[in-house]
Amino acid sequence: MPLSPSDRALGDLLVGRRIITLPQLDEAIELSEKWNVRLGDALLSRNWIEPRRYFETYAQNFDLPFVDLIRDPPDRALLRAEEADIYANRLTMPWRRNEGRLLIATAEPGPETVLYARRRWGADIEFVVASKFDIVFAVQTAFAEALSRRAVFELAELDPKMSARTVFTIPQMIVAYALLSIVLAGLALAPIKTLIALNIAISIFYLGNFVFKGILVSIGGGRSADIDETIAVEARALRTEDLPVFTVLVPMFREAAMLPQLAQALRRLDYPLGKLDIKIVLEASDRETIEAARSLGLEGVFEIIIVPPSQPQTKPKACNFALRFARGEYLVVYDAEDRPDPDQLRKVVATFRRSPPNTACLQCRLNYYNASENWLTRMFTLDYALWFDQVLPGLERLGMPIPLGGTSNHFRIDVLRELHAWDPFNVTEDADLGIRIGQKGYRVGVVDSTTFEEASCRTGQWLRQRSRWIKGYMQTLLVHTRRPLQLLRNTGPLGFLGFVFFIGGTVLAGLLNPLFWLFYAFWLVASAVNIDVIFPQILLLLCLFNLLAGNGAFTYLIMLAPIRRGWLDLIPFSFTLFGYWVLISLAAYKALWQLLRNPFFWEKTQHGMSRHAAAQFAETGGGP
Amino acid sequence: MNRALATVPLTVLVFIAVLVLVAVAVRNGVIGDDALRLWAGASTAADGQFPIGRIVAAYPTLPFLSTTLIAWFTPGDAPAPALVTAGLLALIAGFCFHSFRKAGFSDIRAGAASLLVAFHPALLRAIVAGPADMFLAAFLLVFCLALYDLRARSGTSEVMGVGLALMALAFSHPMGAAFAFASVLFLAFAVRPFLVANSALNVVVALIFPTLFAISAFSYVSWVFPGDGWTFFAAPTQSLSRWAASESHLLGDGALLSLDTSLVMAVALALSAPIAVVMLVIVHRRRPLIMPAAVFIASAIAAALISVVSGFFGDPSAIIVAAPILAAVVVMRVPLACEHRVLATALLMLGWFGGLAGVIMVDPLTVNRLRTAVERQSGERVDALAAGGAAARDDGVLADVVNAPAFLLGRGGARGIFGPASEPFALAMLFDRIDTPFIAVPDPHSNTGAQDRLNRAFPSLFSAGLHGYRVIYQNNTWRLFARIADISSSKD
Repeated sequence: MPLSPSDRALGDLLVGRRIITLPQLDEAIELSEKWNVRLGDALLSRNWIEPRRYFETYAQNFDLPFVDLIRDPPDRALLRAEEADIYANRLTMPWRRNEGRLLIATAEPGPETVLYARRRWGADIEFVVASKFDIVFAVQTAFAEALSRRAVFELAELDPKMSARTVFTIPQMIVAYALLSIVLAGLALAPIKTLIALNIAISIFYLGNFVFKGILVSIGGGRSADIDETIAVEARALRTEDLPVFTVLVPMFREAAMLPQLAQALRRLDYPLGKLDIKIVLEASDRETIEAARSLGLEGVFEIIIVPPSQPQTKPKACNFALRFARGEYLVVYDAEDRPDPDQLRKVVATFRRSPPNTACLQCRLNYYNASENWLTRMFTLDYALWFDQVLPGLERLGMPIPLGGTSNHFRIDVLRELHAWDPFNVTEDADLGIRIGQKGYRVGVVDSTTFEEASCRTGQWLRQRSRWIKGYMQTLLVHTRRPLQLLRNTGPLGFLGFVFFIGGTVLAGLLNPLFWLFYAFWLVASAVNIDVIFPQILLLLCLFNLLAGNGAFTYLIMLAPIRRGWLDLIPFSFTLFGYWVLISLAAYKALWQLLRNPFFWEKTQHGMSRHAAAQFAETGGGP
Repeated sequence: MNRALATVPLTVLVFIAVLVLVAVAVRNGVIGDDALRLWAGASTAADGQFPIGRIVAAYPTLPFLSTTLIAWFTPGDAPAPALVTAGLLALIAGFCFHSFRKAGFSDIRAGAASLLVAFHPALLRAIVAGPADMFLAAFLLVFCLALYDLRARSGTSEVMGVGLALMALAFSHPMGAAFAFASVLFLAFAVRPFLVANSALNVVVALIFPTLFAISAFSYVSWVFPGDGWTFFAAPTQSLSRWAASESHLLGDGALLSLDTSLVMAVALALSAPIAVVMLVIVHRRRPLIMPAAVFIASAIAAALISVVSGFFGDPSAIIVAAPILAAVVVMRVPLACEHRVLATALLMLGWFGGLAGVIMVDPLTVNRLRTAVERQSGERVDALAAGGAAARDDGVLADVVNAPAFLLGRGGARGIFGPASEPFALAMLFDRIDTPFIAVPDPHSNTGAQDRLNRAFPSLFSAGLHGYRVIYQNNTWRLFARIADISSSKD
């Protein structure tokens, strides 16, 4: 699209004042026409001009005064909390009154803003220009408490049944109490029969669990490569000017060292920087990262969102807070250490365009760049390869609800807002949101594009991370089984089954495995003397089948997982799966303990611990 | 017509034809020894006379379990092994028809080609050899198709397909197990080169893991539930020696027998599947089309060789069934065969006649049985079938049916039989006293009678009978005794 006359005049003004050079202007014009963005967005994305300088000149171009909203903040009496979203999205807000006229501060002066402002605040208004960063900062400052409260309680207040704020509901406690009473009564009156009944129930669960996962992998592995190739071609063919604005949220906490690498990874995205709305979301208490972010001198497309202190201090709360300032059509969440495939956003746009209209989210594949660091990272990589490369495509093909992975989930922002976004009380908010999307009649798709992350390479750190995940799965299980019939109705029998085995199976398997290992060890050592009574022959057969076929099947599934990526050197490590299961069980018990004692506590995963990260820090001068 | 529906008439036709063929084969005593054992075992197991542990630890597992299940579910004396065999071959034929049509064959030509495959002499041999051989054929088909898929894509599901097919083969038939072991040598050639270049050993590990794990698991289950399990691998030496004795040796005995077997098998395969030879020669430069077939053929020949060298897997003749399977897959997957449909059909027909020669070469035992049947000569098996038929309405027949499964087959089922696993049989052995309404015993001078447990415990039973019993039926080999009190009471 050709440059607007006002942008041409602005360009001339900037060159005339020697703020930018003529070649820079030419390139910026070319970019803005190619990307279909304003000249300012192109200039800021190239970091050729300081934002404040740009907006000052912008004001002069329109012959309007420039105001510094940090030094001269807006009059709080003129602002309304419920309009905070609008101020942030339109970058336009009431500033002050002057001689009876309302002064409107805007970062986007122009006919559209004038029309909007007159409609909203009447004709008796005047405009001043402010930097977009100042407007965002002013909104954050003015409504810190209200926005923070909304970030924490919106879901809990508007859709309480879907919130993990209440860990156990009263009906759930009654059901649990009744079940426990029945079991105890059974143990008192007919102990052998009760134990056999429990044994049968658990054995059937185990059987269903591994059969279900086997089917998923088989179906997921058969996902047509043609579709992925078609998407890749369509992504490349997308016209740059047609690409929508994409919001990128990067919540960080005490990860100052990761910032340079993160910025580099985002710059590498094959997406016009001028159409990226990047928000680095930082906790107010994290002064170190805030200072580091400010001192880096990032391009104008990077915005810093400061989340005011409040409890629970979780990633979903930070994302909810930042969501209010998002201006994109789509939104993605990345972690600080993420390295997305450069064409990921394009593939997402192409996939959204060919997906059914009820597609609310697209999950990209996740994997690790430090797989070969040690045994734990290898096993973690195998685990992720199975999950994201095989199981999730299987869930998608069967139309089951998909528990989203930690990052690289791309949302339609309107649906995300409609669903009240993430649950800040759930410590695996993404998994919960994925199920909620399914419950609300939307679907999640899978995109063949990978984001590489850093695998936890230390056992303690891994246990903290995994225990949080399992605790979050427990919360998700509790939330979505509050109304089991509604879950069945909303997701269908297959979806219901998928939820039970996928979320429930992961939790229960971790908790039950050690018990059965002990049983088995005792059975071997005691030569079945005392334990045979609760294993009648047919049940013994089922248990043996589960033991053998289950172990064999899971080992095989893990073994097959890296084949898609050609990481065949990981195959022998699948034979050590048992050791990994032991760790998972430890994490599961820790998660259970935490669920009872401190359900909303967020075990922060420390990034930048790998050899790979250390090498990068050495290059960029950072370090954890 | 809907493609899936279009396969129904042919599938039903094949199913019925196989049932008729099996009935004729049973009546004439052509059914193979292994099939008889399986039939009798499954019938006994379905009648609840086997402990569950023995059922799960039985080998060949898949044919035994499926036959037992069918016997358990079907009413009365339904011929479960025949149903399994017919069902499998009907599925193979239906799948071929569906695939041939998909490859561009007209309905008539696809039907003719499917019938040429389904009733290829090697598959006719499998029909009389029983469910295990038909399982072998079915999983060879799955394996061969999976090999082509593996070479084309080498993704997770393709690796899984080959791995699981190998596992299924190992538990379908002893020669399937031999085939699975033999294929390990060649699997690396079936994978796309970039994966092999990455780590050939690890790819092969992923391909054979299900088989190795399943074998370990089966061993463990056999230990927990002592059953027949690996005894099957001890018994085949008998069938191997019978086969070796009847085969005409080109190169000699001893160590040369294995070489001789490989040579015979290679020639038989070539004769039985000329379409594979012709098509693969024509497309020899196109490795993705050549390698899967080459791996398949090499595995089949190596399986025969391993069987003879090790003596563990019985007689290798069953592997001849690989020929029509390969022919069918070549028609499905080699574009040249789809493009030259007349030539393909003609070569399939040629393969049918070649298959006759092939089966005669590799399986003289079955051919002998057929000859005996055609010449209407009586034999111990026919006698056992007749004796079983005579005892069909008798309840409480004491007989060593493990030694003479044909008796059980002639009777139609295990219900009412007191076999070696039953309490009356065990009591008779322990206390030298028989108290069952009926006794069936073969002539101790016959091959069957020499091995009969009743004859060993009661050496004069056949000739002198037993006090209180009298002969109610006899033929050249068998006598059926009834307790006089029971005869009197039935007359009253």
